[in-house]
Amino acid sequence: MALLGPTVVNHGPAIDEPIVRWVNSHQVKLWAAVMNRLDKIGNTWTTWGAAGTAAVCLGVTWRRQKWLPPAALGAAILVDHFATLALRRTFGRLGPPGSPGGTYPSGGCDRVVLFYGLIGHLLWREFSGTDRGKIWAIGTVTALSFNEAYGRAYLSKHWFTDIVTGLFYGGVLLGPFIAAVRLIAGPVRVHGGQGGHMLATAAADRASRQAGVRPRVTASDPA
Amino acid sequence: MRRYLLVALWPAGIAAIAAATVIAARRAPVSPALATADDLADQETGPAPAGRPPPPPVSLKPSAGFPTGQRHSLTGCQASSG
Repeated sequence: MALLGPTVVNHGPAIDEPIVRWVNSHQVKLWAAVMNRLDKIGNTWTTWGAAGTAAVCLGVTWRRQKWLPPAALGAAILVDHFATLALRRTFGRLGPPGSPGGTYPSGGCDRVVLFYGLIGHLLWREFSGTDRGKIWAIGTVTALSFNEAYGRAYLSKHWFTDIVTGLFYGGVLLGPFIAAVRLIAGPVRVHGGQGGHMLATAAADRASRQAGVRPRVTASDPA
Repeated sequence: MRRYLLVALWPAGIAAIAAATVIAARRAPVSPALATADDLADQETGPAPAGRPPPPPVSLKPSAGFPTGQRHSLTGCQASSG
């Protein structure tokens, strides 16, 4: 991100200023009010609240290494906060008119990708582990990220290049956290849980019926 | 008019992401638990023959206190009287 910064700061305005002018002149007030609400999912305290809640819930529900979700999410809050502050102080780019605090990179987009991505990963690896579950988690985080990026652009809270680099920055931070969780907790295992056991039993029973044989009944089953 | 195109970008983007997610999820393999159970059943019993009706559910555990000479209400068997 530090290597990308000078390019964004020096060459970004050629892209950003026409976009901000065009968006400002084509804004619908009612939709801006709606986006002002939807945009809040990336605010600092909203994401920290979500991360804290997820840390408590995952810390209780994880079967092993209960300390890992709170530690990962707490470390993510600290690393993200201070790394973003360092980038802002290094480059000191002013935001669009009306939002001078919207600097490089976009913190809202970064937090959505990092925190909701990490929460989604922790949920998936503990309660699903399947390819289908992974796709749903990625789709959800992608939709949240798009919503945040659109909101920041529509409300002109950030320059366009800051939004794009913010999404990238969130992904850059998320990768090492996922790798660290995998390193500590081991590879992902498929979790069926009670529902999975029942589904497997139902599938075996169905296969027995299709084969024309009596389903296996154990002595402990009720007559 | 263009301002509404900008508004329509949000639902279009969300719909595109949702559609891509649903398509990818449908193409993904099913849960390994289900696949394993089906595979095991097929290995033990072989594939299902065509046209054979499924048998009724059978209980292997005899019910306690069942009197001889009466018709079993569940299985439909007549007990032998000798």
